[in-house]
Amino acid sequence: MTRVLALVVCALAGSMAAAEAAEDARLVDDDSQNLKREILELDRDLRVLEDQTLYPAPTRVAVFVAMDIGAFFKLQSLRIQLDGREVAQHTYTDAETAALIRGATQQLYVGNAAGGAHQLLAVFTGIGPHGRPYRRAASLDFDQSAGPRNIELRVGDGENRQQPEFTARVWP
Amino acid sequence: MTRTRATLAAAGLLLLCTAAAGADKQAEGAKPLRDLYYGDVLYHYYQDQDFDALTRLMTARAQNHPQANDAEGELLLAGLLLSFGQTRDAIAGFEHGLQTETRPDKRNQAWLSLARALHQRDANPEALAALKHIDAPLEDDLEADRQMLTAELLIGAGRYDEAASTLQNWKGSRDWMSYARYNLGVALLRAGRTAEGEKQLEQVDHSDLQAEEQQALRDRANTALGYSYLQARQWDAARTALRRVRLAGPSSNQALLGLGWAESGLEHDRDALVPWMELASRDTGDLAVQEALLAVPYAMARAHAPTAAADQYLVAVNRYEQQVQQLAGLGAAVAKPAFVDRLLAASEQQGDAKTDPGKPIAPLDHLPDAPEYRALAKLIASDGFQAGLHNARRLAFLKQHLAGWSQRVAVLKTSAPSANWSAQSARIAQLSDACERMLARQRSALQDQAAAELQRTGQRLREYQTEARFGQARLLDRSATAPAAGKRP
Repeated sequence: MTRVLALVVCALAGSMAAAEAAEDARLVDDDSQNLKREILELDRDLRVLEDQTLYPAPTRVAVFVAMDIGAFFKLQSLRIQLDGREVAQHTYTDAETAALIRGATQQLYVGNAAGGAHQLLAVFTGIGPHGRPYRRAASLDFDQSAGPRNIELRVGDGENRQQPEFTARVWP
Repeated sequence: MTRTRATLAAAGLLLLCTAAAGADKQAEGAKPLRDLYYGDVLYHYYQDQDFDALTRLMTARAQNHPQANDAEGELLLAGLLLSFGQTRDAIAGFEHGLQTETRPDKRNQAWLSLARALHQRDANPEALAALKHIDAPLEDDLEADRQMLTAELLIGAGRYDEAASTLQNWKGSRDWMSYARYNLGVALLRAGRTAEGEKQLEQVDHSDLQAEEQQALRDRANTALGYSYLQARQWDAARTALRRVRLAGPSSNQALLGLGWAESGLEHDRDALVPWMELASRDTGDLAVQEALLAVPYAMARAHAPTAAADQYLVAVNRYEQQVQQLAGLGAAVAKPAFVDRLLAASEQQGDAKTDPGKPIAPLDHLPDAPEYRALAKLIASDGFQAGLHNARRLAFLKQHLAGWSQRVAVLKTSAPSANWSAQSARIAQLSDACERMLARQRSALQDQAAAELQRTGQRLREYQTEARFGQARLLDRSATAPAAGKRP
């Protein structure tokens, strides 16, 4: 009987240790979630502050890239010039173009432009109809005097001519 | 029961967030993109860069970009928070975001996907609560999925009758039928409805599915069936069921142990020795093997071979002692921070090169090659331990991320001065310290779980060793006091 009691006590001690470990794990998870929330909020605040400081609204210019389903053009790279000066270039992976085809937009460039008239030139390089190397440009004249400018560069599918279409426009 | 839960949960979460995003051009009825900044969030999300997507989305919402702040954005945020282990915030986000989802099928589907994702993260009460939000039957396969998940969660919560009720009229695809029968059978057995449970488990065996996972399921069903028959002392039926289990497989040790007891129940003690001696030759780290070390001499004694039995008790004592000594050595290894750090490093090397800490990591396919990991393999693979490892990994990532911000802010202070940077620097420093402390706490919690498991195992081995010593002593005592042949008492 004494041996049985000893075994029961040992078993209970083991169960209690396991229960304590499980409870501790739950507390750590709860406290971790609180801490991670604070860190995510700090990250957000830092990004907002950095944005406001580096790219204030009156001079902010952001350029985004979008695609239709890419029926006539496989985007490989893109270069952007602002007022004749190259400001961004990117070479695309398959995963990146797949994301664009799914309807996402890539923020390719963010910078500043003084008030007044500016010109954006985008040069698209890739594979065009019939699998041939293809390079086309799109340009946009815009005025930087009424707040931030968000510009969309789009690779469209020109169904009528069975050719890709490259456009640049300022989003309202 | 598991049916590649990680894969299903990941697919479910993707469905949830894609349904929420609504910007997938290939999705029927997808909403057009109205917000370039939200599109940039999707650009990272579609490439499985969940942390980047999350931080961009939070920033876009703070900057009042419209699509980031509407119902779609809210649901996507909730999904991304969930993938980052922010269960509470995610659930609150889903509850709020789904209030404005007017399409009941989309709403209910989202709740199902959330429940599965929560289950995968071992947040089972929350998963059950999420399922309660589903207010109408779903389409075919989804309804079968809902019932299956509900039953799994109810079984886990010990609510066996409810689990059985959930699965009684289950209608799903043929591939899933065996899983449903298994779950129903287990629920019925645990609810004490033995005959009904046995009938369901017998049906699992009759399925002709051949894939490894399904054969393993059949083995589990036959093992559960065999043990149910053992409990009812239906030795012949138990033997029949347990003989169907494959000799090499995850259920084989348990089945061999049960098969020996079935033979013993039939008073076929020599026949009992066959499975038990096979089992006793396997790794002493396994619980069934530890029991077999006692069962072998027990059967020998009953088969009128006391000398052999006494010898086998001594073998058992020595094997238990070796195992206890090995475990004692492992305690020191588990107490070091490197125990968890090596697991984190191993998880970084798995699968593809993506280490986005926002994504769940698959259970470890290859543990570090050291005895403490082999001994604790089952614990390490458990949902709770994996959840802790995920958390440690995220905390380590955040610590690094904050270090990056610290450097950036130092540069920004000079290049783009602002009165705000000093306050932010202080916040970064404070949270970096907090992150370091939390990582240490998480590491310690995982080590405590491992130590508790080693303690439990060691305790059990000592108990078995005591049993073996008593068994041997009884036999020796009996042979010492038995009258010698030919002598008068």
